[in-house]
Amino acid sequence: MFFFLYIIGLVGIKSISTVLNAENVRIKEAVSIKIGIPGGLLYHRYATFINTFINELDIECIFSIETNREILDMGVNSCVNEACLPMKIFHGHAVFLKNQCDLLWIPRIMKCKNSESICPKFCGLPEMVMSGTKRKEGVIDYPLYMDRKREVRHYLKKLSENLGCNENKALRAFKKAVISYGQAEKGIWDKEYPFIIFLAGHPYNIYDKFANMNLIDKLHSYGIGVITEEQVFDNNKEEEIKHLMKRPYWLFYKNNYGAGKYLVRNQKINGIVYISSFSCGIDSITIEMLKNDIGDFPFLILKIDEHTGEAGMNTRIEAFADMLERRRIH
Amino acid sequence: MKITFPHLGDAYIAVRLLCNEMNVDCIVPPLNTMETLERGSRYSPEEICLPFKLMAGNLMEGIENGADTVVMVSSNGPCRLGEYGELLKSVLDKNGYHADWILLDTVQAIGIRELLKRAGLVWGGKKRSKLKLLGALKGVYKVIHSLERMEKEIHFRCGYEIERGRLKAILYKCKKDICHSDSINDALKIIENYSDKVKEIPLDREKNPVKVVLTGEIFSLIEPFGNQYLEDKLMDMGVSFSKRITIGWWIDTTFVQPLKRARMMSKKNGFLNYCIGGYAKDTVEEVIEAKKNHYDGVIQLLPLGCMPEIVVKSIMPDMAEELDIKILTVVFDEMNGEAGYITRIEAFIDMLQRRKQHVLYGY
Repeated sequence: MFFFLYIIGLVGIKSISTVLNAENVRIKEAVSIKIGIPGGLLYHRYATFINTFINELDIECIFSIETNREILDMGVNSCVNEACLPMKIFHGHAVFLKNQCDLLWIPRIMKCKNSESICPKFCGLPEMVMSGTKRKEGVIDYPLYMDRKREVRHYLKKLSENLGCNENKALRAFKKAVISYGQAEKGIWDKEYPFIIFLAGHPYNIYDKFANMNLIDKLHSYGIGVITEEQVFDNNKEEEIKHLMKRPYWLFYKNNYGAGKYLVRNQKINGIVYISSFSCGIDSITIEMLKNDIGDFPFLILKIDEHTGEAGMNTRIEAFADMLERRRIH
Repeated sequence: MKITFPHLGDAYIAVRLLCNEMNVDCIVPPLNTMETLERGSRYSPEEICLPFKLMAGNLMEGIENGADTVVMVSSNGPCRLGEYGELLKSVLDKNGYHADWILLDTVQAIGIRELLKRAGLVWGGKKRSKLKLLGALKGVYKVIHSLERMEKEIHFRCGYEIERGRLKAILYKCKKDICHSDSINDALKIIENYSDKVKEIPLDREKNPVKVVLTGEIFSLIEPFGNQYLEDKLMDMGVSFSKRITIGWWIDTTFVQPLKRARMMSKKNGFLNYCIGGYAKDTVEEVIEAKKNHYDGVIQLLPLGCMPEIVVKSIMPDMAEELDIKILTVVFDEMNGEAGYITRIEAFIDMLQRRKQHVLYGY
């Protein structure tokens, strides 16, 4: 008899405690964490991916607005002055989100798919932002090695811990995001214009309309269509970098150099426009290598920085368009 | 086959001795001058960092003096140094300086076998005794280390000197003599002689000079032309300073104890927890060490546009505040208006001096 009572008592305590625990869990989930995602740097390229991932996770999220003068000014004030324009813009977005979110998501991309890197500043981005914006707490700053599956899982595990959601849910969301990114249309390839040029550069310079002062629309208005490096297959790019002494270890060097050379060699374009931010270390090498290797070919380099004087840029684009026109006639 | 190589501080002394010992024809390009920089920057891309421009100038002069093979080191980090070889070849070829290239890459990038094969190419296909090579390498290693030990001693003693300028004179005379010596043993003897002389210089032990740590980007630290002869200026000012990043340190961390470095790189220090390429993390650790060892200030040197050091520069205000140490960042490029640098460094040293004497205002 006592034995039965004892067992019933045990079960009762256990059930009560599980109910309590469940409530605890529910309370934990109910405290929603607001995550802030700065809309700078690689957000321009991976917007589909990030949006799907956040949607699937079902967490509250705040995106920064499109880059504008105010954001740039905030960035310039909070960033170290030797950094390049995209870095300053990213700082501006971070300052914009600083007081509106619980967690600020700053990706620290150490290695890309085939162990390429992007730029040392990407590896030190969280430190730069933390010291620039004076926000030391509540920053997601763990390293992301995309060349190793285990590391990506580790990243997701940590992320789900911080966001207070299930790890499997995060994994599922990640997989869905990868699929949706794979299906999404990437890059630009205009076919209805008389001229077509290869618009080279980093995605954050190409797609940020404020930073590049609406470059793509300007080119269109002169009857120049645009093709970007995403439209060239990876194996074609690989083919073009084979003759180099050393395999390039920067993702955007490989992409721009490989795609540019492939398009020139197969005569798919009339010219190249390279949009580059001032004091970009990677572009300083890519531009020179590309220029030396393609020989006599129309090549326009546009440098952008935080001084937004538009007239100089307009003149140069116009001159380039005239030059393409004359090349066709003669 | 005649090899040439770009300058990196006093590395040419060691390379020349090694080549002499192993009977390899080697052409040492003239030391860096304003002319070297002008020639280099004429053909280099506009926004590349200063070391590239100097190296391009060196190699042009080396090839003009009759060299036909260039030996370069390379790296695999996200820093620009790894792509130097490729771009230098492209730039020099375009301007009519043709040469064969031997790129000594890191083990992680090409594997140890390929590295040894490439290093073997330096000997020009001739068979040479491996024992002799090992002996020569050991000797050169010894030369570098003893020279650096002496240099460090001089840098430290500078602040305590009674008659300013004598230690500096000894250092320069020693380097000049080594350049004229023919064998490793001679060089070692010369260094030993001069080390004894250093100890004989009278010092004022009552003095309390300003103590500074030099840190930053590795090329700017090692190559005196890259930092506008900053060390000489500090010696003239009577500042006692230390510089850990030298060629000997580089050889130690890259070849002799790579595991130790890997372990150091994985340690977290609270300011910059990950290795981001270049020597950024080392710079951060230098500052922490400087505080531990009671130095008064830190001078960070970097060439314009150096990517890893920019990250460090952005953390510097935090570090200065948290560790209570003064940090000066000096950026170098090919415009060498010397007066600007001197003013800033003098002002920094003056500020440290005043802080030391407990002046309660003005810093």
